[in-house]
Amino acid sequence: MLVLMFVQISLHARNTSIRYNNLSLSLFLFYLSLAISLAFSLRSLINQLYLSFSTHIPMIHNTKHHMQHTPHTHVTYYNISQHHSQYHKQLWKFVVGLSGGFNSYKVTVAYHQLSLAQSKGVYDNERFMDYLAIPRYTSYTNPVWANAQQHLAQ
Amino acid sequence: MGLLEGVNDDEKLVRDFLLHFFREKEKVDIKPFQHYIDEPYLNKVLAEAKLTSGAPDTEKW
Repeated sequence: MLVLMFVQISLHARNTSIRYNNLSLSLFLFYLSLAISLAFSLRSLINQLYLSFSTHIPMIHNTKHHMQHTPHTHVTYYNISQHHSQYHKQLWKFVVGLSGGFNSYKVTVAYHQLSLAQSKGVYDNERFMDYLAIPRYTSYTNPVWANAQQHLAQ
Repeated sequence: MGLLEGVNDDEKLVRDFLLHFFREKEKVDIKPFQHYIDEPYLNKVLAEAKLTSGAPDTEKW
């Protein structure tokens, strides 16, 4: 956009043999305002796209619960890294109240929370126990407990 | 989920946490974890934690 703007101005200045006259200045301002508005529109569009991806959780039946616990719009995953733990906390608040059918979501959120904490040298025992308590089958899961959880779910 | 990548294999994370907790205390109680985690797996990680942390009674492990 800026390149186009300067090409237009220089061509105009050459044709009229008057460098940077009033017309050139108005052209310059026109393209500048166009470039700025385009940049803001793009920024807004990108933010909206990030938000729509970061807060998208399918099959939400309880709208009130959804409104209360989905992450605030000012927190996105692509914000600076200090927002990640805040984002995870808000996601956890949301997923922890969901039914057993959403256990994979709980595992995902808790896993990323624990990973982030671990990268900072923090080993949160309470959250780790919460993580282990999410019913699932893995190579290390106690089979007796896992089977009991499956029977409970049925 | 959203922008968070799905979890394919979390064994490494769980093992790292267990190793950390087992290395932290001299007298380790595996009971809190036993409910959720297979006992042979816990014993294996406990032995690894003790052997790599320079515990005095290595022969026990």
